[in-house]
Amino acid sequence: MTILETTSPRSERRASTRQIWLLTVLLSLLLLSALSLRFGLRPISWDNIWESFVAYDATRADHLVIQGMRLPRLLAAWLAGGALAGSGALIQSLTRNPLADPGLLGINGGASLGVILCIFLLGISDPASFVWVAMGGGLLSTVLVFFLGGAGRGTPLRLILAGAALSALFLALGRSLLLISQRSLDVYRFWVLGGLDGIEMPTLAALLPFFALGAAFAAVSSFNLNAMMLGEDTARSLGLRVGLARGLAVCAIVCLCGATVSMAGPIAFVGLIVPHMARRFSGADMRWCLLFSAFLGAGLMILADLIGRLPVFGGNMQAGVMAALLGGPALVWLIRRDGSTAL
Amino acid sequence: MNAPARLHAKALSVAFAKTPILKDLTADIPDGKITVIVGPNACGKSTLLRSLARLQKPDSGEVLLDGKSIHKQANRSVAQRLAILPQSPSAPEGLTVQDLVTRGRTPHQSALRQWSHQDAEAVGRALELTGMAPYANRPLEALSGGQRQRAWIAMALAQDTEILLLDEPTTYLDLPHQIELLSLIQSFNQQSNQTVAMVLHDINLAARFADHIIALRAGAIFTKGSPAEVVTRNNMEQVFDLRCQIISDPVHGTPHVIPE
Amino acid sequence: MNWSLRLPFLSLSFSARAVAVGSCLLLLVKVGSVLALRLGSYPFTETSWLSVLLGAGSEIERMILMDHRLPRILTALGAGACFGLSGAMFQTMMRNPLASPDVIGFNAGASCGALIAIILTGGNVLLGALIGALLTAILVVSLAWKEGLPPQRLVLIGLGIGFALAALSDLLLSRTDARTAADMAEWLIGTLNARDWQDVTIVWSGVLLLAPALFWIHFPLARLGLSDDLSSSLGLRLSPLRLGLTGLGILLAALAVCTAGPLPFVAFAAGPIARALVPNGKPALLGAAVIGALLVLAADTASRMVPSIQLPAGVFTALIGGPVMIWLLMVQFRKGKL
Repeated sequence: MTILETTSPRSERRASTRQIWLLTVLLSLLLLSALSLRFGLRPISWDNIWESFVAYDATRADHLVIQGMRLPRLLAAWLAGGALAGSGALIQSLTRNPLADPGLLGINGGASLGVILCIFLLGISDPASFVWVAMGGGLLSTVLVFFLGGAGRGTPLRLILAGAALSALFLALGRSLLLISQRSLDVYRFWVLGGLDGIEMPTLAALLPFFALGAAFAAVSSFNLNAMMLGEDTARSLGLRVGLARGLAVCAIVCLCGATVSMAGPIAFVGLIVPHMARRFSGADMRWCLLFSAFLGAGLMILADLIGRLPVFGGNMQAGVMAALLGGPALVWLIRRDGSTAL
Repeated sequence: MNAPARLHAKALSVAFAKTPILKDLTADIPDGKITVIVGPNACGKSTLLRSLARLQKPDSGEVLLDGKSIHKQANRSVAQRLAILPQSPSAPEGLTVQDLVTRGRTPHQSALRQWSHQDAEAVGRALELTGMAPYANRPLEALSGGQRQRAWIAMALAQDTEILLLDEPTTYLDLPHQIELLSLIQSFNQQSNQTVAMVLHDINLAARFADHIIALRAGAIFTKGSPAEVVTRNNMEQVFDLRCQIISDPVHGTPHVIPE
Repeated sequence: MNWSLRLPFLSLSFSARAVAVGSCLLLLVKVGSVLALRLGSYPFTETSWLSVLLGAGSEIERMILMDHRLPRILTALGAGACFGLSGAMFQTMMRNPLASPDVIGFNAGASCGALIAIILTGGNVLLGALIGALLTAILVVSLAWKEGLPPQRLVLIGLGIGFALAALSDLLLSRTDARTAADMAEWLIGTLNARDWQDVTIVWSGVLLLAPALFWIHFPLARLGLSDDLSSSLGLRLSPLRLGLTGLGILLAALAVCTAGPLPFVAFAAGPIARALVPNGKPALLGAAVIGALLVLAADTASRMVPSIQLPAGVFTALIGGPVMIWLLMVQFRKGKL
């Protein structure tokens, strides 16, 4: 893909309005969060929500719902959406390919295979223990993809082909195990469709370090990737160690997506599409792109979760599915309005 | 300059995102001569060349090839008369020099006629002329920068057109290779009377190899004419904001710029 | 090294390596097909399959061979070739190895159509998939059209629509009763169970009808690998060419999906595998077609070889294709390419 660094008046105007856009996105994010606490199978009044924070009373059903279900769910949507979209922006910049998604590093395939093997071989069916198995599987397969893909030295094509081949292999292995063992299927189906249902605070707390670490890596990587957008040689001459920078970006993606997939199962859409929406607001600067991706991703997940909980959908529509249903047409609309921007 | 030239830009205006790049520009590319377009960075040199080659659609005005608007002619028929080598072109991985040069034959080929005798002849000739014949079976990425540039020139030559446009053909080349390449282009022009128009950065090379120089400044023609007419102290100062002395090149007698 | 063929009406140039690799692959197809015919829960000996094919043998033997295995194998070959062609075309046109029809969402339209057909009529998957694919294609192309078909725009709009349709499929899947859902799920993995001569007719007549167009489009497609500027300056008309390529690619993908289901990985992998075997920077359409056919044939045969569990072929395409691709990548890496 070509890299366009233009200094047309348009991108100058963008720079001055970028902050305003970011503010708008943040405000709507907060608004959505508030709405997502208020509405669900049954609406809870603002007063009650406020009280559940300042004067929690474990005997009141409303307080239990807010603190025990809706808040963890909201936080999970924030983390999952932000992590997926942010790592999507990283991988697209890393491979210089607008079609790359974080699953390309084998995280989803590895995590799924890990969970299936765990059910199949060890007979474990407690979803809470899947978190670490999924994390381990995702991590292992990413290491495999990274080294087969040249350990930071190969071309982006090599990483893409290696990642796609290994991911497909893992998914197919998992799928064949599922078809052999009905028992595994029954447990796995639950996990893979997990979405944001039934996430509890302890799980979130356990995964939080990974999200934090991933976010830190991602922030550093966004500087590196900005330099790498100008081409590898230029980046090298700017004093960047390209292999190391790639490794760091991969670490960021693994932490963020590994934690997400172990929490909410594989969600395909957000990581691939949201960065394209974010680039409309951020321009080519990777730091802004990362920020916008994270916030837009979180917003999309919260919105999708909110709509998915509406009674029309039986109250349990998967947030990932709903995100695709909402986000697909939104992307089409954005591209038709603004034209497509080069990566 | 009696009969109109075959390639002619008429009142061209081009803008990117509302920033005008070319403003109401009219120019002739004289037949059978080497024309060099010079000017400071961002003055619209490449845009002019791309417009002349119909790769850039003008917002107003038109480019005439053989008296007809170039955008209204069949693309293939234009490609049989006019070739352009854009700046930093790219090729798929693994493509050999021979295959690349063969692609230059596209406007003369069809799905049923993919490798006629004429194609083989033209490709062989282009490889010989550019000295790339020994490298014909090498993949492009295994070549040095200078060889690669010559391979691309060979592709444009194989297209076998009367008009050849080149956008900064000497980028990435060291001075001996620059001279070699430009001499090569000069020899095609002299042997087959091919019309050449190119963008060059180096004003001294332009003065040495051009028959006709067009100097652009801020999207308009500042001046044009023979090297002796264009490369003067006064013009250099106004086009490039460069204070300089002009001496006569002791070997070729062309004007030579010595920046102060 | 290149060989030339010159006839009064036709002149072509072949690379010797492409011809050699192509002949080997075709030989593999022949050997593979014969093996696929012989193997299975009712195996045939080295000689008996031929005599049965020629009319000897018992009623049951003829039925197994003529009504079950042969149509299944022919459908697998045809659908695999279509997947391979379609994938290689899109990848070359977009200059992006990820741009195969399964990634950019054209298969999602076919799947969605098939599911709706299952719900509405209980069968007739074939027609549903075909209509779904074509409607999606029309929608994507008309939304992406802007003075031509800019590849980036086409890909992103395809992605958006594809994901929305895939989500719609999920929605449908979760809203139907368990038995229909099981049918749908099996179809969604991709299987060649119970293919008959009707499927063979559809896929192969499609291939034969599109073959002249494929031959014609191969010439400009090979030049599209250069940049837009260059291919345009060589006299190609990019807009109609891209429209034609997109239409052809979608038709091929639709043919494959409606006869074999959305088999994963084939369309994505066939092109890169073919290019790794003949690394000369050309689109390798024929190579991709043969590799695709081989992959699907191997996957289907493997799925028949595990008799009691009946794994669908869609599981095996990646199980077989993945290692092949990884092995080729490692060979290329060792040679210092990539």
